[in-house]
Amino acid sequence: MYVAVKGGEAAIGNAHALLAEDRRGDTAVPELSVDQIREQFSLAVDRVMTEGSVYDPELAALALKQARGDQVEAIFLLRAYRTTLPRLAVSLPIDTAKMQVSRRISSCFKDLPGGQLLGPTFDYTHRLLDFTLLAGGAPPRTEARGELAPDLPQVVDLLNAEGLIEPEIPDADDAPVGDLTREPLMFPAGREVRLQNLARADEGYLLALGYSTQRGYAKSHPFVGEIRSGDVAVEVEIPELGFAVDIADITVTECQMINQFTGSKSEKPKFTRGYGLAFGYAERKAMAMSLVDRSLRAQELGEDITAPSQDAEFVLYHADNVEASGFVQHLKLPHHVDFQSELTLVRTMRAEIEAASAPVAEFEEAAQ
Amino acid sequence: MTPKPTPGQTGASPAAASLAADQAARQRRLSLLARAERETLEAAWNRLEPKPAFRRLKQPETGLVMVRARAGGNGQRFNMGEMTVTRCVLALDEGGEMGVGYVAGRDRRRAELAALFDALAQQPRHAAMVEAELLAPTQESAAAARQARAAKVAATKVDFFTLVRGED
Amino acid sequence: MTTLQMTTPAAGFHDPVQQSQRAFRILLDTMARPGRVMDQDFDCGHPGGIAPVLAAGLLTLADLDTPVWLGEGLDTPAMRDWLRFHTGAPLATGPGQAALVLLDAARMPALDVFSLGSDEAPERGATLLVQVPSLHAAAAAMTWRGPGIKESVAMPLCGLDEALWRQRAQLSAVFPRGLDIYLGCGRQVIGLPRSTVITFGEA
Repeated sequence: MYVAVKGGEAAIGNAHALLAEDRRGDTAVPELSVDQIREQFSLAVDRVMTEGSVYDPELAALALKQARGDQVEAIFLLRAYRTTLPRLAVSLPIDTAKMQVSRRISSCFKDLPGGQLLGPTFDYTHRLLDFTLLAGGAPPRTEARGELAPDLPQVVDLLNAEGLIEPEIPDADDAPVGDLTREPLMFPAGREVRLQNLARADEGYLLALGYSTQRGYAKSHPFVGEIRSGDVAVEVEIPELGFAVDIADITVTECQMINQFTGSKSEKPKFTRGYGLAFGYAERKAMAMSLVDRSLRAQELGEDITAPSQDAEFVLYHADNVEASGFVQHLKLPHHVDFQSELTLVRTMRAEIEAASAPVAEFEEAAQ
Repeated sequence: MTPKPTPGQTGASPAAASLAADQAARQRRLSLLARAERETLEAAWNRLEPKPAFRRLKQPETGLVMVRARAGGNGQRFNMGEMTVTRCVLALDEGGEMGVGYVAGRDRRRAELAALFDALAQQPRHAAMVEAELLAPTQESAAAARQARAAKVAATKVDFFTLVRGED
Repeated sequence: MTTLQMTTPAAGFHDPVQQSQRAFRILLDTMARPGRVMDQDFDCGHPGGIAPVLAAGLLTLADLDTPVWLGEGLDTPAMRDWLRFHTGAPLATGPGQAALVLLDAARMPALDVFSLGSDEAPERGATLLVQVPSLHAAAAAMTWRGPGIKESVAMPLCGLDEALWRQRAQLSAVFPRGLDIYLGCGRQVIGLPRSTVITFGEA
């Protein structure tokens, strides 16, 4: 029998009030403003924007505040909000070669045109806790000297010129571009759908998968061709005007991974590529994404599919942390009826086994 | 997609060249108005007397623009993620010029002011004011911010030097 | 005078939030009760040469994700500008690629040029907005049956060729694939969902 039950309304209301109180914490401590979160927890904001798939630093900061700093919860909030908005337009592809860079490095070439620009990086810090921050110390003065080269060529394009790396082939202007926010994930998934999925994917998940490729689960032998972070212009075709206008700058991080590839009889050996792109300063995410993108190209490049990171269905179906968290956490919801039926089943099975073994027991008793 | 002719294209008819120049001017204007601070726009509007009457063809509305990118930076297109954008379209009562405002984020008033100044810039008596009070200052401050940031980033450029190994 | 100065396209909804919801309600109701004439109790701007009820239908149903096909006689620069300005909808590259189609009863193509959807995704079947000369005619020429109709309803041809109605009748065989059709005249509209079965003569 299916029994509908109702209740818990007061409990839920009080739970929400308690949540709000705990979120605020000790009221003797000043409350964080959304601006403070946006400016001082900017990498947390960037992650929420990337995986929430909406570029809006203020909204992402608000989501973090509301979620008590829980990233996946904040991402969920942002995803939920985006469903309330109409889509106004689609941008032209951003041109990362024209980025106003804040960081740009390559591990392949020491002397690359334009130089290695470290930018605001955690690399080379000693990972020692800075107790001056505990005391509210001011940041050191930054140096400002010189200028950046007007053009910073993509490192992979240098290899391209020699034909040593596979070129990326642009699709036709009128070719459809798959969109996971419009159509469900279907297999085989095109590269564009995979990249969209990975761009929204959970960073920790991609990090683990990317790491697994380095440890031997799928050989890709990667080198960082280039990582660059900075601002790019977003050009939007304005429906009311019929031409494109550059309406904003957004911060993105891009990783071009170069991977080894042994050629075949018909093709000379050349390097292959993996690509990673994320909103904000998200170097770890972009790097991991580029490793997984390359790994998912196994079939296209005629490689054996032996590792989890090469299995598109496995990787793409489990990459979204809003979906994953929803399905894992739904187990908390009342399953009273399901469990009762399982309980009955187990009791019945046990009773049957006991009944079947009963005559033997009687016989044994009789023998004694 | 509408082709984007470049200004001063050779071989184009004078009419086409003029159209291209107008389009380039409009693109620059919309791009700068989209980057102008709300306070700057509001101050320019407050200085304007008399205030022109206008009607909204599209109420200020916040929505999303899907940001596209290319695999490898120049390959196959893909949808990277969306960004919030607010737009407004209006027409001036006197003259009927249509103004368009598209700004990043969710500030409806900013989108409306951007559209208003886009429309006003099409009226000869207001064009110079829009340029002097909004476009030129926004362009200058954006260039200055760019340069200041570039200088700080340039200071993090690695100067490699080779350590000479002793020969004897 | 700049050559780029755009002429403002024809107006759309005067009150987009309220009117689009009311228009949607009418489209929904009329699809739920096939054959019943519904009145749209408000006007909206349109580029001319199109029934206000269908103009409201386009403004309500078209958006960035719905490629629109403008049928013969309706594909005018004014219509294109109006549609792009108000809805942002792209023009379909062909009738078979369209999600939404605007047609005139006097210049109808065969129905098989439009997408019927697939068995996996029947919702991809096109929605046709057909401008007809009249929804009320003395002579009933066919019978509609199906969900939303009590018993049956006798219907006139509404200015469309009988051959076209026979094409539509045959589409019932491929259900759930099919076409959803709105017939509009002035401010009145009739809905004809793919689930409606059409028979002719004494049936």
